[in-house]
Amino acid sequence: MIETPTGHHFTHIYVEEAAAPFPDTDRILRLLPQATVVPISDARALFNRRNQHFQAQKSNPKLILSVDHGPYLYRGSERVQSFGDHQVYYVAPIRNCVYNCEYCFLQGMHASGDLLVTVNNQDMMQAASSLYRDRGGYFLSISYLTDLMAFESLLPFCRRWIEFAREHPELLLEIRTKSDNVQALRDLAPVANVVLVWSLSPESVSRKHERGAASFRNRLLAARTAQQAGWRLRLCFDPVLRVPGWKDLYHDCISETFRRLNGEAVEQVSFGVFRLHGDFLDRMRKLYSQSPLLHADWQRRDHLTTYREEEIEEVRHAVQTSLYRHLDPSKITFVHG
Amino acid sequence: MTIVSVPGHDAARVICRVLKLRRVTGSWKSPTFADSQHFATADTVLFVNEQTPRGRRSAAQRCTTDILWAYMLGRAASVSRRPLIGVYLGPAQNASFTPPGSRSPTLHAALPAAPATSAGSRSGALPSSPPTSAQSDIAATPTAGSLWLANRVEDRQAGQCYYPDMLVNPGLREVGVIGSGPGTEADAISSATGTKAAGRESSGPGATSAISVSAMPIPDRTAPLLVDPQAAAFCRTAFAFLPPNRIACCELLASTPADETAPTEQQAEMLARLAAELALIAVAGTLQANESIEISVQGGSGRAESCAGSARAPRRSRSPVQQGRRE
Repeated sequence: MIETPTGHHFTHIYVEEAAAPFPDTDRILRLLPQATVVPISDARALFNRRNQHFQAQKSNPKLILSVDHGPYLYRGSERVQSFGDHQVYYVAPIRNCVYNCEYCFLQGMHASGDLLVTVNNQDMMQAASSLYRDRGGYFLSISYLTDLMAFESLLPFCRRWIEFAREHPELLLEIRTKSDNVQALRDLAPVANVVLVWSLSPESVSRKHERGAASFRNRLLAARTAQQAGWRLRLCFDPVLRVPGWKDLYHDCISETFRRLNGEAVEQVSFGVFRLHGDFLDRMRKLYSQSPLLHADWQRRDHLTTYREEEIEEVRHAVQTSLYRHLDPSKITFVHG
Repeated sequence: MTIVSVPGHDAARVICRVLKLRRVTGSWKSPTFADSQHFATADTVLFVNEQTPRGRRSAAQRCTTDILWAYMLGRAASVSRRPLIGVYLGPAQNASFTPPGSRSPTLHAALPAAPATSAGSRSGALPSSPPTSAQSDIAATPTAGSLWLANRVEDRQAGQCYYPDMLVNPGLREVGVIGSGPGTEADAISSATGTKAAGRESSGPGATSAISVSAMPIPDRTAPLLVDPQAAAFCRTAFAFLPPNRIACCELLASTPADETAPTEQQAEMLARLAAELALIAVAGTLQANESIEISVQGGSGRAESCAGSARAPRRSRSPVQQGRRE
């Protein structure tokens, strides 16, 4: 059985009737020869069934291969950090992630813990190309609802979108990841308008709250590999969790990061605290009845659930202080909202 | 384990004897059980359904079955996380499209919720083999006496399809089930010759519109199809009450379909084994890393059928009932 880089394996593949003729379907079925194929008529109906248990399904996630009928491009919210760039859009070639981060908003957003994979990625690219022709460059996140790099060995979405970005030079493409699967891109020449963003957390936080994701050190090594290969690199310490000893943990994490990476070549660093919008937290609490993190005494204000104001300020001050030791302040962005 | 059945049901008597179970009798048409205390406190409930009338059931009869299931599942879902196993032993509705040997005792199970864990950290602790079927099993033809786990149940009359979450499989081969509606002989057994379902959009909870595998270019990778007229009724109600991760649908193909009500000793023994496997599924969620389990059920011949889990820690022998209570 072929496993993804995270060690997940897929025992079942639900194939939508319309998705059967696509080459990506064929590729996945060839790469997962032991998986049982279950035919379905409507992938969205399966994915959006009510009464599903996201976390139970995460214990053995399935692949659902579907055809997306659009819209393919979504306007990004404030939460897609564009690092100052304008006109933020995102696409969703995959919904849900091979990882299972305790704080992830996808638990509150999606009814299912299975991975919904779109096999007509070409249609997304045509939509992105059409928008490019109409209005010029824009910021495009392709890994907003998943971690595409972790999935790269099964479907090379990153590679395809990087090649797409090469042909659309005014586009700024962001690939955000907690994976260490940078080797999947090793034979690609860096592209000037593609930014790789590694999301980093202290080792203990990563182990406890980012289940399945690469370790802090492996992410760091992957980021260094990408940096040395010439890729544009940004970093992200988000969310900062106020776990016991968080000041020292994040200080050490940041120090270790810039001991391994060349700070001069890091374009931007963003950080933010734990925050969730809408009723996501309510849904996540039902799924995670034993999570001290999710059941903490969060403050809700203006549809945003997060730390108290003074706690946010404390995090902001502490992390900024640590980052100032390694980076020019103009490279540091605090993200909230 | 407690078995609940209508009074004097032959099948229930045989199963109770073989499984050495306590039998609680009561009337399903009554709003209360004759011995509701036993039902309320049972760790696992094995439900033997009423005998299905011969021939195609009317809508009213189907509704009655649904109501019974609703009552049953409603009670079970509200009481605890215990496994709930249903057994249908009625004759086939329409023998013309029932494959040989499919006139079978069928186990349907609503199980305790699977654990809220990460696959990466916990999958190694799951018992037995990984939840997959070998390709040779997928391509295999169902034969009399074999055990199967349904990965989808088509309700063709309603134009719906139900997909239990396949979170853990203790080694059962998988099968697609045509639960109700018009079908042909070709629908059964061979997935490669399945016919297109009459597709209406889904309307029921947890259901999606039905589809057969005829349009798929990969028939050898899909599970074979069986016909079980009762499965749709079970799913219709089970999916209304329970999340898909707590529902399993198992098929045991009869080896001697001559007797339409009472299973043979051999069948009952297989039911025992399947019940043990279902219990294994049920307790899989409670396993901690580096733990192992071994459960045993006395078969009809007096020997133990066992399903062992991973063997990292000293083995502990526990009954399915004990397993089901573990948290």
